[in-house]
Amino acid sequence: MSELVLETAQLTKAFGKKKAVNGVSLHVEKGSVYGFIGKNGAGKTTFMKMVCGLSAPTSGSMTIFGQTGAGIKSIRHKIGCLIEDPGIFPKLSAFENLRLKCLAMGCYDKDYINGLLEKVGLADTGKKHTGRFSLGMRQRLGIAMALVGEPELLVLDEPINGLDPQGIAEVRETIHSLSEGSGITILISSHILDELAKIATHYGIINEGVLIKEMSAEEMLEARTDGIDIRIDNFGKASEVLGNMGLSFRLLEPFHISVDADKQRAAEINRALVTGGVEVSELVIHSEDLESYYLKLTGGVQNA
Amino acid sequence: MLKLLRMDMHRLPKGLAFKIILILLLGEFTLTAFAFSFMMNRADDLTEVYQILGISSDVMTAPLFLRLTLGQLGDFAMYMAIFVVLFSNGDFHSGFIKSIAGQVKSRSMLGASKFISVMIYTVFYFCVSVLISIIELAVFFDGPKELGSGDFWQYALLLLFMYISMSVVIAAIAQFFRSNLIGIISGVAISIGLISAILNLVNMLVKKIGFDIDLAEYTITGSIKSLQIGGSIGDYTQHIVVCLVYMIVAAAAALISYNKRDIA
Repeated sequence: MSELVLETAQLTKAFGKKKAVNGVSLHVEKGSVYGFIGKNGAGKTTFMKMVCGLSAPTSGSMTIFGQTGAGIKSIRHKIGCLIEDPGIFPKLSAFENLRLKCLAMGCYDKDYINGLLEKVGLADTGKKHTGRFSLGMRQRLGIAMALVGEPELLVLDEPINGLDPQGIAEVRETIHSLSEGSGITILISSHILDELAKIATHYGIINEGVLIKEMSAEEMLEARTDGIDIRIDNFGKASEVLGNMGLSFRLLEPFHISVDADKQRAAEINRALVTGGVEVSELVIHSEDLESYYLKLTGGVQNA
Repeated sequence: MLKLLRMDMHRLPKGLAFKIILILLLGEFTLTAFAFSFMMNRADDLTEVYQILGISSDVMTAPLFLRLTLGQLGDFAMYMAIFVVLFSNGDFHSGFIKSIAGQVKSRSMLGASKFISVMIYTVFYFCVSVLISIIELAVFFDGPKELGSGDFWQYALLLLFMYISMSVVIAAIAQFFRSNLIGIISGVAISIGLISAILNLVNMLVKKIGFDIDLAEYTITGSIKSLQIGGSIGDYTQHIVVCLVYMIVAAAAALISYNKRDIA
């Protein structure tokens, strides 16, 4: 395992008797884009708030950039965060909002701010008040705010939530360029799992406050089951052939079945069906998507 | 800390409340000066006018004008209260706090920076008010008399200190409760002397059980109202101690709360 930027051990946050985050032990490698997945109320935001220093854990520990306990205070400036929504003053321009953050971080410089605005595609917004920005623009400004001070770990909570497809693509590109171009480690949560799948290198799945799975994107790909969708002319015969091969399958629609099998067995299945007198008019290999995998793990379909 | 202070000092004048309050102060003082001038010029029996104004002199001096305006709590105090609350909770309200609170070594520095900013801007508003007063005295009366007297500056500085204390206490309440509504209600209640009125009721009850004490004397607003031009050192000391105690206790409670509580 490469160098860890963030490591938590049995991190717990309780509100009264309810544990919003329950014994989470999570590992974020340097340079990775860590997709944090969970339904509403699963504990993602609470966990991220603890990482960002906005909320104190009830128990457990965190190690960030090798520092733990009170030592974390010394590396707080290395963490940029966008939690829930971009905290911006609506009556100020994007430049002025960034200026405030820069003043607080002690890095105010006109060119630096313009560079940040350029980086997130807001260079041409001028004096327009951020209250008149679209949601996508506000989210990108939120990312720019999180980037002030050149953080090495970026914590982004639902940065693409509520965006239109164009906005999603813009934010995705921004995150992608930050990860690829600047080597920033990113911990990101999102409900839009297909989008997350395009950028994440690692995943952590949290459900009801408990981290139920943590894996790399490669491991996730391997863990997902393949399927083969086949159009046939005779369901009875196909059923008999597949049964003899010990394969399970389900009917998608009349004369259209989905076989649970590794993609490498596609040719073998095709041959067996044809030999068994079944005419195969279409054969499509597909992998289980992230959403299906997530739902299978959490056993639910709501708010995925 | 200095970085945060720079940020707050930069943010403060950009708020709408800052500009509106400046305009209101200008209007308020002009109207007050005009009203005094009108009454003094028109009244046949000046004694009656002086009784209304609560003064004994027949000349409008700079200390007297200050006592009739800033020394009576009222609108200046109320404007300050509203301004202080809106500023103190501005970053909570917008969510801006979440992007900086995690990156500072101690969250209490965020609160401390606000207290200092509020103090600086109370001085600013007070100085603007005094400046407007001097202009009004020149326009509506025969100029700012007794402006150079020691009494004037002594009174003005003590009054300023009391307003600073009041601003810090209101800022502390706003930060403690993190609510504009609670902050403004508390701020206005303090600034219009409602607390003193309540304390007067308590005084009456306390008197009935045999103790004769004026609790309003031990409040900031009570101190502002009872502050006299050319008062005794003993009175001045008591006012200063009362204001200091309130300011330190309120600020400490808010700063501890800032450090201990989560940022929602």
